[in-house]
Amino acid sequence: MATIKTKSKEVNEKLVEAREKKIEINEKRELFRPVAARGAVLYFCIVEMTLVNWMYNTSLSQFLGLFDYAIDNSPKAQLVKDRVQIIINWLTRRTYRYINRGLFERDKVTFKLMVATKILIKDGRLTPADVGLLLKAGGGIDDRSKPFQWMEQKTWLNLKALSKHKFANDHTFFFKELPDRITRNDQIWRKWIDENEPEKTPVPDYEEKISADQNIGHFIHLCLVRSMREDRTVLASNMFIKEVLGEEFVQPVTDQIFEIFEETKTNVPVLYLLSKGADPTGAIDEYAKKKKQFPTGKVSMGEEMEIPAANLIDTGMAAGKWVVLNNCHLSLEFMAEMEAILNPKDKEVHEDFRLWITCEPHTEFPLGLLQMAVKVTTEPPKGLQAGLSRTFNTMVSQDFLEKVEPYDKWRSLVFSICFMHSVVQERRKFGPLGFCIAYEFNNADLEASLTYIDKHLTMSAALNIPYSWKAMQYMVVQAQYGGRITDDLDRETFITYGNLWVQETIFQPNYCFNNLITDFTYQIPDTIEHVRFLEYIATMPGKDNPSIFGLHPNADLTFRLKESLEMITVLIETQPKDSGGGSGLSREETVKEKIEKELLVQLPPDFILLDVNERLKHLKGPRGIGDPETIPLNIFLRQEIDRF
Amino acid sequence: MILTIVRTSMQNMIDAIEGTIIMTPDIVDSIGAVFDFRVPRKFQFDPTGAEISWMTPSLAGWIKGLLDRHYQLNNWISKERPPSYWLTGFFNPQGFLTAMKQEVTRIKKTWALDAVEYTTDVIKEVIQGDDGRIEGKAITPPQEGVYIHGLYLEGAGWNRTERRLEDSNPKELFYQFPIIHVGAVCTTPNPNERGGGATAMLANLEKTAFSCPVYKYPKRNDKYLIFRCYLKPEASGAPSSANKGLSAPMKWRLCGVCLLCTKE
Repeated sequence: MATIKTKSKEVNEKLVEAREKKIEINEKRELFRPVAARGAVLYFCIVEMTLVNWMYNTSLSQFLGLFDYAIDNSPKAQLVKDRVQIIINWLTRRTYRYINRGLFERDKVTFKLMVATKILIKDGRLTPADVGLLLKAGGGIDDRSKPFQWMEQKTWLNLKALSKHKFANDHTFFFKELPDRITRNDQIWRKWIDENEPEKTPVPDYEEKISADQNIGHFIHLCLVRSMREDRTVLASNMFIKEVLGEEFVQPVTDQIFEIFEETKTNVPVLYLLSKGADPTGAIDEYAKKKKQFPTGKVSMGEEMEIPAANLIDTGMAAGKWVVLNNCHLSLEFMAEMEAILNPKDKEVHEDFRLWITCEPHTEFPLGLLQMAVKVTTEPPKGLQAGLSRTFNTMVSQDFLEKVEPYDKWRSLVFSICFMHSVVQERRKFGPLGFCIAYEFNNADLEASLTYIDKHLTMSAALNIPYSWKAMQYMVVQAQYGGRITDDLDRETFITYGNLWVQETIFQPNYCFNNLITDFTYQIPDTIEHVRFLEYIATMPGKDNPSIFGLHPNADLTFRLKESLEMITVLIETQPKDSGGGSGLSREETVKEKIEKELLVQLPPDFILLDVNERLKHLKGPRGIGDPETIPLNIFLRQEIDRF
Repeated sequence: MILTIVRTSMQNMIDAIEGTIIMTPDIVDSIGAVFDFRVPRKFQFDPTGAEISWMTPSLAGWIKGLLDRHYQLNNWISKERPPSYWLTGFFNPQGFLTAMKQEVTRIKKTWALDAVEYTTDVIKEVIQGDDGRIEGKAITPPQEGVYIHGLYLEGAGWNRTERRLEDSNPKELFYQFPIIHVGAVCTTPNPNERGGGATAMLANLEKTAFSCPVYKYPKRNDKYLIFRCYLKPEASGAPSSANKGLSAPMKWRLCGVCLLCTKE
């Protein structure tokens, strides 16, 4: 009996202990929930990015790989709380680097901004409605009571929207008095709005209130900058991202090829997403030499190249060699088989085998391959200096500079035309202000132009006749580059460059390309050595002043505005469609109410046909024009009203 | 047409939300757009993809555009010709200018329409605001041709006193442009005229003035090009060879200067 009693007591104790353990485990497990929460946020951002570009597709298992990596490799910690934070940091950083590498430049800030806002929403610090305000700003308001002549109407609508918004859990309107404040402090606000870097300048009236909000002050600041200076949105977003995610998320990163290689396997290929003017094959070859894999098996895909490619993969798999398949968007059907080819059931694959794929984005690229490959974007570096340097590293060599006599004239023309080539390519970044149409000028245009110049110089020398600048201008501007130009205005722009830079004065000593003052004097280097050309190009500024394109410095603003608008548009398009408007109403209820109460009531009555006809009979034109019904402008009015 | 489309489409959204009609993918899209303050596709394009209204990006801006456009047409039909026309407010601004050309030609009797070209003259007055409304502004319509307003100058500034192009002020991307007087001239040689008449005048402008394209939207393309307007490129008597082969019209060309009916 006594034994049973002891046993029973023991069992009871064990039971209590078990219960306690269970509670403890549950508690511990709960402690790790934030890790899962962060994982969910990151994964959904990745999924949403596929709406931006099909090539961004990443599978759940790829993501879980990142997740496991973060858990396995991050340092341990004494306190669970610390450990959780470490894992979250590792996971976020690892995911960022992995995804970032496969995003085109224009989408990188977008992705980070998406992650940052979603984290705050998950934390309950922001609501979807707050993000809605950031993205849509004053887009939903019509208000004609703008009291400031100096302010853009759009800015006014944005600040009205801002003044009517309750952030997150706040019960008051944070910027309620904003319109009032600006009225009272007109000069100071105007000065702030006109700042070169308003996002870095203290905000009038609100600086303290914004910094006092430890929770979402950074977000409120971003909303304000976006509303008042839309062109600074991307830059202000970077500041916000830095606050939420950390400094390293806004530092420029370049992924070295060896880092990319570390993530590959025999059945995990590298997929380079190509953009115009970028070619990763040089880098692959370099690395192949280091890894004793040079020369690689290379195939440029296209019609009937599937069999040679398959054979090459076969031998590569057996011998442990690398295979590079270029321009795979030209062989999509073959790409669809790749998943099976890389995972053969009937044979061993040598562990050194690797597949490298280069491909332009294509909406029909097979999903399976996208979801198993390591995706890397390649984009040519931006700017005149980078462009010229690329040309002088690839097309123009010492031999090329000594190809045609008289050498000095030939060199000047080569440099001038290469310079123009870079200018017209970079000018595209300004959107319609630069060119109406973003032409894909490429090296072939430059090469053909220089070939013509070569012939023209040679012929002129042989016949002992002066150069015909008209002919050279025509052949370069109208025939070679002009073959791509479809818009008259763009043609005129290009002709203007031709008139400036394909003409006699470039032979003058110290000829200077910039017609307007810039920080740097762009000249033709006075040297015969190729290496000196490269050195000179290296001294050019990395950031181009719009003046070198002949544009006003304001063009930088136009460029930034375009960039910001594109980012906002992408974010609006990727917003989840299930969230409500923040007022407690569902999406549909919000829309219904808006249509019924705001939109329908505003619509003017239809024009009544009989009425219009009657009035037209009495609508007089200038004297001597005749019967009102035949007056051209009356007929025009009639057509306009018909379309209304 | 457009009014009917918008009214029907809005009613359909309400009915579908209330459940009295079937929710179609089209209606779902429209609801999504209204929720995001964007313009439903149905308001801007017909089923073939042709534009049936104006390309304002935000819904509120689009509705405002509808009201302002209606206002101009309604005023014109109910009262009389406006002294200045809000060019932005027309579906077919090219058609408007052609109609003007026809009118002038018809009155001249001896002119042939295909030999008639536009003339442009920028006057001093500016119609402020972006709704095109001219009430309360004393404008006397021109004897011949039309006044147009509502344009924005992009890429350069405008000197109102000297009526010529000048460099933009920092951070000012668009200038509200003054009223333009658009008229017409006949290029058929007139033996009674000295100095070559209209043809010589146009040829001279082509050489010395800046031929500024006028577009419907900031997105510039052939489809949105309305016409071209000659603008004075520099102060009279300015040293012309100031910048190494870069004449004033060339400078403005590289600046990407043009006139737009709307800033967005």
